[in-house]
Amino acid sequence: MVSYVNRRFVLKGAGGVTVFLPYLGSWLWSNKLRAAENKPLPRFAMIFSGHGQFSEHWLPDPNKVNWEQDSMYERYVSLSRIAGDISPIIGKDFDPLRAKITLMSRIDYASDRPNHNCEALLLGDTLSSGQGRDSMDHVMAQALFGSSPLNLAVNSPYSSSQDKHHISTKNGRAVVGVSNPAKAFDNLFNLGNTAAAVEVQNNSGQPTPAQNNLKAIDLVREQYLSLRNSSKLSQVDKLKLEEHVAFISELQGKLKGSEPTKGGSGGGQGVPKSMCKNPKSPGPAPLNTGRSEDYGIVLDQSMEVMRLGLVCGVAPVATVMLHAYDYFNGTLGFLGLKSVFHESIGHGEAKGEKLILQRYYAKKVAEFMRALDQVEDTVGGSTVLDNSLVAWMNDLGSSANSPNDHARANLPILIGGKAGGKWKSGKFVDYGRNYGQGKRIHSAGGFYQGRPVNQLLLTMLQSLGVRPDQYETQPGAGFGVYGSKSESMQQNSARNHKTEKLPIVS
Amino acid sequence: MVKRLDANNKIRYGLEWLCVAVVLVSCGGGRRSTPVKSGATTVEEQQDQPTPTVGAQGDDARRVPMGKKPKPASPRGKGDEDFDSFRFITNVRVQKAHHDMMHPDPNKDVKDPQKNELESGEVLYQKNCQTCHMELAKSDKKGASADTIAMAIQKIPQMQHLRTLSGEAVRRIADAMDIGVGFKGSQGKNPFECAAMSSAPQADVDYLARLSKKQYLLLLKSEVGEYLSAAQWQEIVNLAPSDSKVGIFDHFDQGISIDHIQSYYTIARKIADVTAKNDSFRQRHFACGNYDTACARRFAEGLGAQLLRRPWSADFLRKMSELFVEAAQSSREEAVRVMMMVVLQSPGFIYRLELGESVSGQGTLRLSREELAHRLAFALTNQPADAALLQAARAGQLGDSQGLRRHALQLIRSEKGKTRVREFLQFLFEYYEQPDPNYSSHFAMGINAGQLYREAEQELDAYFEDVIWTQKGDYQDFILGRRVVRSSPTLDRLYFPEGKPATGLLPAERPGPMARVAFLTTGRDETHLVHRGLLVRRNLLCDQIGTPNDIPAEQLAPPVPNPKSSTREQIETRTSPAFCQSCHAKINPPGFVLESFDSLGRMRTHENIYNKNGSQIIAALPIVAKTMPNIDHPSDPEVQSYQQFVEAIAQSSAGPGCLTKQWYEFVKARPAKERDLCQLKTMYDRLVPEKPVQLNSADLGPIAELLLAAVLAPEFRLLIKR
Repeated sequence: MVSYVNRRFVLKGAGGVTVFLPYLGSWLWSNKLRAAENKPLPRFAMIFSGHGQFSEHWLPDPNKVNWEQDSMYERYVSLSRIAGDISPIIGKDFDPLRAKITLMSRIDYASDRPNHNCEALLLGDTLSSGQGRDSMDHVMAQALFGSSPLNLAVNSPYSSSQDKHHISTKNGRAVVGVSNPAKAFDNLFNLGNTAAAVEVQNNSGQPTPAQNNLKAIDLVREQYLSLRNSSKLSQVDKLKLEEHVAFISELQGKLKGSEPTKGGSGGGQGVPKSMCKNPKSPGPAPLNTGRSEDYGIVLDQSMEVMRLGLVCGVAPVATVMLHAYDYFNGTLGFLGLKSVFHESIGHGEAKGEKLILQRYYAKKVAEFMRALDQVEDTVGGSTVLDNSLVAWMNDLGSSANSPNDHARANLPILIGGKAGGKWKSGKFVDYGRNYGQGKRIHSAGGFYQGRPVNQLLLTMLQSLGVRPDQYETQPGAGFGVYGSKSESMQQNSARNHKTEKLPIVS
Repeated sequence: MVKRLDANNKIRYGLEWLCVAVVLVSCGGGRRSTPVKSGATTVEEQQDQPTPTVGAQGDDARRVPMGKKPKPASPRGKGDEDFDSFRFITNVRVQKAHHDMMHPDPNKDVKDPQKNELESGEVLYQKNCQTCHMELAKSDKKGASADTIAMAIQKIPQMQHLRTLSGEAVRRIADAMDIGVGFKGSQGKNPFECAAMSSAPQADVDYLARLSKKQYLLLLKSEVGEYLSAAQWQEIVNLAPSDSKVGIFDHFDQGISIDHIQSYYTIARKIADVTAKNDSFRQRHFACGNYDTACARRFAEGLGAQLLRRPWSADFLRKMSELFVEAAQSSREEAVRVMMMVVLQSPGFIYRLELGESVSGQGTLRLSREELAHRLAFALTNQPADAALLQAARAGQLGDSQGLRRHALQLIRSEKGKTRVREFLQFLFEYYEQPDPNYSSHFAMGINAGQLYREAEQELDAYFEDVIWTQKGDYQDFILGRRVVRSSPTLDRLYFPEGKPATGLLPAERPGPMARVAFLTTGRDETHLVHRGLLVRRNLLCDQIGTPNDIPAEQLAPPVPNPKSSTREQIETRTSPAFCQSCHAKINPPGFVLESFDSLGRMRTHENIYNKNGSQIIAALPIVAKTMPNIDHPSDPEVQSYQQFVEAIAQSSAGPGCLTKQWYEFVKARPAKERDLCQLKTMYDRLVPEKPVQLNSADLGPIAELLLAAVLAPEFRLLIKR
């Protein structure tokens, strides 16, 4: 029998394989994607509630829990084994969620000045320090879905200064959260579904209004592209236009996706279609009324929009910033509190009122998580919360000096969800003071005690399927600790700060 | 004859075809290799041919490099490949270019492996620039932006060795050469130093400014507001994307996000729906027998040009006309709707474009006449030029100083101009947002705080307008004035507890806007000593004061009323450590002197401490206003009262200097730079003339001259060098 596998054949085959090799990754990835069609949609939400808290209100009493020592965590305790409320803030509302949340202590900023730089939580550093990367939510949304995240902000009517309404960054600038929940809802579910789109139908073969909308957008984008090519513009101006064009392209994608069906672009794996076919709008928001009680209404509406966006997969990455006051001005009348927030509750002696405020937020967070936990993910058989990560954090940590500090150590962090089983939830973890051999010095003097918050960012990114090469695509750095001033001492402990994750994932 | 393949042949040919397919894919069939439409046509007649952008080489640059993995499929599953690839590529390019220009690569330019840090701008300048451009303090390139430097490195052969510098290094060098505008304790003299080397007028570098939220809404209101009901307009207001307030003002933000684009789209759609269905709108702007290209042209030359603030390019008109005519086959309303949708999202509407026009033989550009008119109008009214100003500009009336001054004066004295100046002063003295009234009844003594706020705001607005235009005041009049132009019974009660004098003037002890109720109310019984001091320092004296960090929250708590210790004493004690004094040596003095007024604006000599239920005063602690004012210099003479403190500001250079700088930044919508110093110096001289000036009836006062000076400098209508 004549063999047909001669030398020529082998060489041709080898050549083909060589040429093919660069595509191997994407080929495999494509296959992986196809294989993953039966995997649930990864979802991430971040709830930022400023204003700080007393650490004894936030954390379980360390002297009243039965710690278990662990080589990875230093010590931990299962939340199910804590008698009574987990803590004064994390109370009964979280009881049904104990197996699905993670409470952490001793996670610190690496940044020099995180306070009043709320973006540091999702960026791992501050805008003012010159770190112009996109925040984690933008990187995640781009990597997983090729889109922007939903960024919401709930402010008092007075809030306008920068540190009150953003936790996200894009291209080195603050991304102001949308403070009108009705608008956010329409952008998620009704963008391609206007009255004009559905009212006017004709059978004459002429384009429908919805099709004309797309043509109009095409022409708009063409103008921006054309202008960008003008040599009369500076490089800075051109970059501005390129950003604009990129967002128009994203809008076009949304419009095309949402055109055929009423109910928005919700779709994909794990989305409960019955719930998302005609989601109910929260209705007009009572904005800028000056009435304190309207704050709570707008907050509830915003949380509902975020919930719908996550569940229906139209905003699988979302953040909300909750701020109840403006500098020196606000009061918390909607909670029946009399003291002026910033000076008396934020910094003053009104400890009890601060607890009331934080319990209010805790209730809202717990409601949000429970709502996600009540929705069965149509893929995988678990709940949406099980397949998601929901982070509740703020930028005001605590220190030995003061349990109610503008400090960058020991940030308040509660994570809900299991990231599809990758996250080992149900624990209160104390990462201890031994990480970095106690040498994590920061520039203001003193030492950090725990782990850098960057590890949390890496861990969340990877748990939800964002690979290092995706979050490190931006020039400069990704989300690990990259030898900044404050962390340079870490080089001595031979740790890989670019990639080291928190020991919380399987 | 068809030859049947046996099993071996099937495998062999199958593998060979696989190899061929792979080769084909590698030669350009990859998912991301679809080139994007070049968009080579121009939207404006002034534009020229496409040029590659950062990191780009024409269409090729829009291709993802071979081997780049594709973006995972969107869960939408319906994304247009062209959109996706462009977005993907653009994002990468934008991110890279942003990074190159603005942000560090920690592994590049590392000079000290131990520190692993990029060197300071000063050091980088010394190593890379000093040889040709003198030492930093005397640099002949002061004020050059990062963009300018980056372009120079690309274009100037002698600088090409600097291409190894990262974008961050270039930015740091630019920052080092642009020290910003500060004050140097010049004690009465002009604080702005205009070095000879920087006296040559310099134009701004960037010419594309996104309209602020306020500008965007003002423009919509003026052009199409009449066709919208109140409810429809309120919906538009609620949909408009927010700006980030940075510093004092709210119109510096140039960020852009998906929210902006979606909001522009939604608003355009809603307005287009309304206007298309409105008979009077169509009759006014589309009075055509047929909805054809001529009709589209008529709109383009009318409202279309008005909305885009320039004539439409032939190319844009052609494409828009095609779309218009096609849509008109469905209905006239649909044609109008599509037209409005495009125009309201166009760059000419969303951005302020200053593309300039060529000057023959000079290789430079200058603002077109229309562009100059719009720049002037935006500066002084926050809105584009109206038809009259555009007509004047086209007639060349803005080309000379006198014509420019005449029209600038008309603008600033118009209702729009007055509103603009009023907004500036409201930001400056921070009385645009009054705190929720939360006074206790024993303290308020029957005063309706909500009503008081409104009356106090109007009173201070009227005071400023009177000083600037009626009194033709100078800085001293501005900061020391005692006239009450618009009062009310409640204000009279607060200002004149002993009865209103015949002069109607405030007591000599409470001169100026800082002693007005609108400035002094805090919303609660306590006075906010530190906040008041901070406001004076940051807004009125232009001190750079940071935010406290790593301070136990309790140390930032307000003083609790204490019968044994006044608010001042408590703050003094708390801020006495050296760590605090770096800022509080400046913050505290104005806060101390303003303790002469309670939180409703009543003058007081004692700080009353009440018992718990407010029924009784249990202590009356004397107000001590004596302090070192530290205005121009720490050694400034001690003052004994609020009055003396304000008089010291009136005599200082920091006070008028700060007003000059704040107005300049407000008009320019950006922080002042080193390159602006000569303009600032000139403006300051207008505000504080070296010799007393005798005004006749036609003259303006120094404050009004200052307001005009920001747009009368040669730089304002300068040739643009790109």
